[in-house]
Order: sequence, then structure tokens, then C-alpha cells
Amino acid sequence: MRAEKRLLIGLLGVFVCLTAGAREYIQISDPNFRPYPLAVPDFKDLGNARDAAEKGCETLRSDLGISGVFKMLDPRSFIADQKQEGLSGATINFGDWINVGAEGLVKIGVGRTGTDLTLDCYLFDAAAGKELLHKKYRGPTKRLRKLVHKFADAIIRHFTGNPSIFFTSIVFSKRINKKSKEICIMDFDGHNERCPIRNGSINLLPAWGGKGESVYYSSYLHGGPYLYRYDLRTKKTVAISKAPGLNIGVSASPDGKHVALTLSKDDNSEIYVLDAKGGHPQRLTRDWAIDSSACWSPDSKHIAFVSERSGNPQIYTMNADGSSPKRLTFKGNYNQTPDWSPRGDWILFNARDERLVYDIFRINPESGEIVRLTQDQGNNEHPTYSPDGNLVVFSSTRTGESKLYVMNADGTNQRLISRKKGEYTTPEWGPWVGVK
Amino acid sequence: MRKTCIFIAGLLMLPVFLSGCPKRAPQPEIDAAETAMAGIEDTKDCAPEAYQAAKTMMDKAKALLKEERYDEAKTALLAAKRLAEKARAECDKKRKEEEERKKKLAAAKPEPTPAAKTVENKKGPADLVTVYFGFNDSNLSDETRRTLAANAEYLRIHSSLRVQVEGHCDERGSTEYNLALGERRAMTTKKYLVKLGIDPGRIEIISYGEERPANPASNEDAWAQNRRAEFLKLK
Repeated sequence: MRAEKRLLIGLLGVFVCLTAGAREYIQISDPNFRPYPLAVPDFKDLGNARDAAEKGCETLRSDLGISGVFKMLDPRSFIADQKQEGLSGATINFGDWINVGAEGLVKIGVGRTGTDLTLDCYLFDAAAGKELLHKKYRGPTKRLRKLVHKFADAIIRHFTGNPSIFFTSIVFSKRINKKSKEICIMDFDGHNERCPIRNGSINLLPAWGGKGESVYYSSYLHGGPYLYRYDLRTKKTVAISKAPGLNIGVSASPDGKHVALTLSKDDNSEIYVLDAKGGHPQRLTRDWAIDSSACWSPDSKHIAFVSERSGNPQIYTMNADGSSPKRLTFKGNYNQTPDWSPRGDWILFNARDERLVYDIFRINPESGEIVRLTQDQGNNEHPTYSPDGNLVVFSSTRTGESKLYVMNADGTNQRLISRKKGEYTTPEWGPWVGVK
Repeated sequence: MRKTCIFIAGLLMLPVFLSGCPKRAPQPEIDAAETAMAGIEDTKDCAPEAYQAAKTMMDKAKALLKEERYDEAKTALLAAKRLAEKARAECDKKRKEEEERKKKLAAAKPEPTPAAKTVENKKGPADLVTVYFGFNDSNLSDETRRTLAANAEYLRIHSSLRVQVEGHCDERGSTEYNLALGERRAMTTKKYLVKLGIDPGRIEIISYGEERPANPASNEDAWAQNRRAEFLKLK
């Protein structure tokens, strides 16, 4: 009897906690989604940290802007007396923020303690004049971006109930000169670019392996091109597939068990599935047409791919064992590079339109509904989803040389993210990683 | 009475003579003209005026045939045949000039070798000639077949020579699909050489997709130069 009572009280407690925590989260994929108007005024220098305050503010505005969740209000429109205002709610005249259209307000102060920076971070509901978050971070100056990402992540979790993509990375291939292409990695916002695969040869079509601890890529270093895997922790490369001809276009299954790729050892490009170490090859396609660009469904049970078995390249799907191939795209005569959304509801692809321009579209694999995402901005190619499915990274020639851009999954909020010289191609957004 | 009968019979026959029933459609001329016309479908773009003239004349001949004006039709058919032959000749000449131009271009721009160590640091000799392809196409045109026949001849003479056929694409389309397409171009080229009697063991293939353009520009001319299969001598 007493035990039962205790159980009842316990359950009641859980219920109360759940209802208290229930908030209406912003769903960016909701058709009625409206970006949340947010004001991020300049960070306050709390002493000897002017540079850090400026850089930190730039990082936070960029993070929250790229996330697609917010309408970032123009700081030049702010009317509040920011010198007068402090960080805490009691010092803020919320009317001044409501008057410029803000629903949310971020206030951050940066101070310096020895070689460390301290960040005092607030998030307010401007209309209610209510504090939503108050967090403090401390770390070395060189980790400023990470400290800011942490608060940006807290803001995203508060509004969406999900982790942010602020600690994810993007892998891509970059042409440095006529002879060589390197495999490079950068943070989701284009910062911190590094090129671990740099060997003077052509290295291309990189893809993430495992939980982001390795990168698959193809290289002409020893002919082929052959498929290799680079381990980001040990910095070692191993050969995965060296069949005669092409060993390209790898895609790791989300369950981590297999990789799909294109091999041409049968006189023609066909899709194969190997185990993660390159063993037990299993042939999935059998026809005289080019079959390539395999990508997995989020449950690892299906594969989308490109085939020209109808006479020109189109998007198809099939089961992961190669059975039940089904043509998905019927519009246009040049559809390529599919990428399946993490929720499974859309497949991104690249199409050549009637003006012979390459643009990005998405198709619903069930209904066949097609939505155009880019238009009138040069050639836009090779789209892949962020791990939360809310954003898309792609390459575009809108300014001449091919660069990398990020947009919301509905095509809005397009932003240049690559920052250096060189031709950036074939980006793939990496999986979730924990907050470091 | 007998005379009357003959007269009546003659009268009955008259319309037959008048309608020219004994005259037949000029079948040999029709066949010759149709054969000539069938062979010029591809000249529409390269010799548009001659093609159009031949087509108009052929349509006229057909109309005359329908009206059973066979003499006039015969003249028109002969004219259509001549015009078709003219279109063919014009187009062939243009193509030959184009091929020559591309040969010169290719020769003027020696391509650096791939990373493969076995490949010589020099483009194949002028006798092995680069061949070109249409957009998203790996089929061999008549022109290409002729070039490959010459290349096969060269390989027969230099019987110890081994070559690598490199398949290339223009920059349009995805990296991966272009690698597959380049592979197919190299493969088709190799297969044709093998069909012409070259030992398959002497021919290796590799695809560079869009990675090694002969002309890095982004225009139709450059793309046409980049959709190609090149030959490299192996040591």
C-alpha cells in the first residue's frame, strides 16, 4: 500500500515536470513557420575585451542567422540607449525593443579574467519582459567561437527543443590549381578551414563516415580513381576499394554498417554496397546504363540513385538490396545528385532546367511533389542536408568561381559560407557531434 | 457492224489512253531520290540551305507524283537527288574542316599527364588523334569512326605500343556522373579499336570526368573541346 502510494506520487511528479517543461517549440519545417524576430545588440565590453566582444557578437549573429530560425533585426534600427542599459532584465526598457519589432532580445557581456574570457549571456522575451535564459561561460580567448556557439546552441534548444548544428562540419573538394584537388573540412559557417588530404593529385567526392570520425574520398594518387578512408583522429588513410576503373561516389549508411558506391569494373558504372571496411561487395544494379550517386534513406533501408536507363539521367529509388527500383523524377532530362532528408520526407536533387541552367529542387518520394529551391543565381549544384534537415549546403557559381552556400530547406535565407580562394565543390554536411 | 464495234471499243479505251494509264511512276528515280534524302537528315544544322532546298524539291516531286504528273515529277526527283547530294557534300566538308581545326587545337595545347607514373610526360604523337563527343553522349560519329580507324592503323604499325585512352567531359553536370560518362567514352573508344583488330591488352582506359579540361573556359567552344577521348602512349 505504501509502495503504491509512493509510486503514485512519483508518477504525479513526472507529470507535473513534463507539463511544466512543455513549450510550444518553433518547427522550421512547419508550413506556417515564421522566423522569430530577434534583436542581438553589440556585446558589452566588461573590461579589456573589446576585440572579443566584437568578434563574439559577429559569431553569434552569424550562427543565429544561418540557423534559419530567426529574423535577425538590423542593429542600425535599434533605438534603445544601450550605454544606459545593463545586461539584466531590471535595467532594460523592453518597450524600446518591442518598438523595433523584436520578440526576443539577447544581451551579452564579455569580460577578461587573466588569459580567460568570461561571457555573461541573457535571452529575454521582449514582449513579456521575461528572462528566458541566463548562462555564464568561461574559457581561453582562442576558444571564443566555441563559447559563443554554446550560448547560440542554448538559444536554439530553447526555441526548437533540438540541438543546434553549430558544432557540425562540412567536407568538400577544392581545386587549388589545374592539376590538383584537395579534400577539406570547415565548420558549418565556413570558418576553421583545413585540408587534410593534400597530395598533389586529384582527390574528389568526399563523404563522412561513422559519426564524423572519418572521411571517405576517391583519389587518382595511385590510378583508379580508388576509394580511401581518412581517420580524423589517427590522421591515417587506408584503401577501401581498388577495383579496376572507377571507385567513386561513396555514401555511408546512417546505421554505420555499409557504404554504397559506384564501381565500373563491369564495363559500366554500377552501384555496389560494401561493408564499412570495404569487404563483402554486393552488386545492386544490373543494366547497361550509367548508375551512380547512391545515397541512403535515413533508416538505411532504401537507396536513392541516378540512372540513365531511360535515356538520360533521372533519380530512382530502390531497396538497400537492389530490389524494387522505381523511377522518381519524370520532369526534365538531366536530374542528378540526390540527397535524402534526415526525416525521410524529401530528396534533394540537382536538375538542368529548360534554359540549360542547373538548379536545386526537392521531391517528395511518396507523392512526387517537386519544389524548386534555387533560381536565377548561376548554376547551383550538389545539395546535401544538415543533420537536422533544416538547412542545405550546396555549391553555386553565382559570383563566378564555384563557392559554398547554405540555405533553409525551403530555399530561403541563402548565404555564402566558404571564405577562401579556390573552386569549392561537392560539399557534404557532417553528422551531429556533441558540444565540445 | 464490225467497224462500229471496233469504234465503240476504241471509244471505250480512249479515256484510258488520255489518263496516261500506261505511264508508270518513275520508280528508279523515286528510289534514288529517297535514298539520297534519307542520308541527309543530319545535314539540317551543318548545311541548312542545301538541306532545305533538297527537302522543298522533294516535297514538290511528291506533290507531282500524287497528281500523277510523272514527267515533271521525274525532273523534280532528279533535282531533289542532286540537291541532297550537294547538302551531303557541303556538310561533310564542313565537318572535316571542323575536325581539322580541333586536331590543330588539340595539338597546340599539349595536356599535362595524369599522376599515373606509367604515363609518358608527353601527349601522344600526332598520329594518334583525339576524338570528340556530343553533350551527354558516348556514341561514335562517322567522323570519329574514321579517326579511330586511322588510330587503329597507327597502332597496327607500331605493334609494340600500348596506350591509355582517357575519357573526358565538359564541366556541366555532376562530378560523379561525368566520371561515369568519361569512363563510357573511353570504353566505347577502346571497344571500337578492339573491333578493328587491336589487342585489348594494349589499351588501358581511365576516366577523368570533368577534372582535366583541355580548355578551362565556360562556353560552347570550350565544352566541345573538352568532351573527348585522348590517347596517351604508355612505356
